[in-house]
Amino acid sequence: MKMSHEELMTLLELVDLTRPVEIDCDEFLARVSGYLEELAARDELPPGYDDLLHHLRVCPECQEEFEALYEALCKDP
Amino acid sequence: MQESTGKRSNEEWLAALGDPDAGGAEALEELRGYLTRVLRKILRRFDGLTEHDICDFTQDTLVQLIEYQHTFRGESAFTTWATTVATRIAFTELRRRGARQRGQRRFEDVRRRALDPPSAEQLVSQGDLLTALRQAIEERLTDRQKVAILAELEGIPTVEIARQMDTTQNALYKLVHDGRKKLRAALLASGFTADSIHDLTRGGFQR
Repeated sequence: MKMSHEELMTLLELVDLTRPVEIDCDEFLARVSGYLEELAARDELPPGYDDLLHHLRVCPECQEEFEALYEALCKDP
Repeated sequence: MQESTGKRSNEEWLAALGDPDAGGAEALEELRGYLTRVLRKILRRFDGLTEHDICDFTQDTLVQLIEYQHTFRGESAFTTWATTVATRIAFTELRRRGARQRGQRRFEDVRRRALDPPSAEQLVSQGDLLTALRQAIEERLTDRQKVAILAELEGIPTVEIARQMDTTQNALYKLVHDGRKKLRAALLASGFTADSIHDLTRGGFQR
């Protein structure tokens, strides 16, 4: 595979973040509504969502959707 | 947290989805109005979206909610879950449109580059860890994994990658995750520690 240095570094960052077990985007979608409601109700990160937060770090598309949801539902409801 | 749609419980919403033609019609119209309003808000940063687009996304969401109501786990208010589904549907369609505008050629270029081996110069010029990563890519990944990973690094939407590779988005996630695991295992087997991998990336993950 011909990759630029930047692409290789991004891939290395993803490899660094890789876990043996990760949730996929469907599982993320099934659970993110609960996380958003808890986030809106607390002043701190709610416990029990480590796998969700990890998915956000490796999946830019779910991250983009989450940010839009957070803005609309939590920050500026 | 968000504007109210009335006083319906999750059970009442699910009952309406289960009987959309008769008793649930009023509830569905209320849900349609809510989703339309919240999607306008969520998608306001996208230039060029029309009311027709918002209505289409809302209608597609209602169809999905009726078909997949059994997947609602009750971990939130029903309307919050419906909003996340609507957002997923809208964003996926917008990404699909963007990929169509960029055309078929971009994916073909990525496929060619993914299957083109690195030059000997690239293999020795990057330092031990990155050299080991390049070698692991060539030796451990399948051709499909190489294509999928490079396409994602190029920012091609996963809905488009999945279409081009004749698979589903979830299967694509598993393919790429498996590839990342193989690369991580190869680096650790080569003698690099998890700390040394992390240290090289400490500049932060930005795409």
